[in-house]
Amino acid sequence: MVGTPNLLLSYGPHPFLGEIRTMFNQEAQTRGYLDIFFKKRPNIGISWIHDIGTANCIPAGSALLQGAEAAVNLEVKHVRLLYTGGSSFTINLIDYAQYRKIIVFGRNASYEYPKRFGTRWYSVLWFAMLSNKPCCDQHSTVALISSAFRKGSWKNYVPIHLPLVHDKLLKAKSTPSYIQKAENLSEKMHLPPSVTLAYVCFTSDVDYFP
Amino acid sequence: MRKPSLTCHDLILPWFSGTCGHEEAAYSLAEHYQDFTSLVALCHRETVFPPEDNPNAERIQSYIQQFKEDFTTELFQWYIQHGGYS
Repeated sequence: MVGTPNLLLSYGPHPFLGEIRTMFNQEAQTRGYLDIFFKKRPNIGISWIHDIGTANCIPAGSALLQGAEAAVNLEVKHVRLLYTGGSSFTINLIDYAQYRKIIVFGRNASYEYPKRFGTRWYSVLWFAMLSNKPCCDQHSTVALISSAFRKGSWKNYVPIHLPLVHDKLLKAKSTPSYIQKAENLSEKMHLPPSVTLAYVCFTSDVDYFP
Repeated sequence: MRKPSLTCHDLILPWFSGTCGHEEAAYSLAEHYQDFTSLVALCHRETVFPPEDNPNAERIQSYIQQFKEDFTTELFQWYIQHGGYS
């Protein structure tokens, strides 16, 4: 998973840069204190960076949504909405997984899903990007690709990888093992098969992502 | 320890904020009065980023361990204010 400092630096010329990056660069030593700080002094413009870096999807999604609603800059708004879309999808998966686990193991079941999904964060974002979300236009898509993989200019990156992603989805649709996994997941998590197929497709082959 | 209404941040820091050779005295006063605003400011008078290049990096870590939340609150607030995102 790309850590918070990398995520932060991917924003380039943005008001976050300044000394905020120093705060997140020391996150390993100050994580617990950051949690306390943002709890006492909410700042949705900044706290979501910390939340995403710690795979804390729910407050991240909430902060991003609030931030997107208030954002004047269209690019900022798009990127934030896109992240919100990704985190919402993750939340849904976690909720469904947790719900199922409570049913199977009872209310005292250990809650291990956030960490598991957190390591595949960008796979989920890829899915969110490719789904038919209203906010997912070309501009915000390339912004996400650029920030997620930090491969330099998106102009060099998108033409190479977007066809590969589409190709991968097509292959998944004709791969029995993927379809079987997707159907199982669909039944267990009460999600449409088309959604779980895309999820299985991306999360079952994480090495594909550069 | 009771914090005075007029802190050393208000009175003393300006006198020691330059390179006049009294930095250690400024640190001692700020530590004594637990004036974390001054301590954070003193710790970031030189290189801020990357944090490992800050000559006061070890001092910052020791303050975090010593003063915990009281210090980190001022520390984070300083980063936010100086990041232009307050």
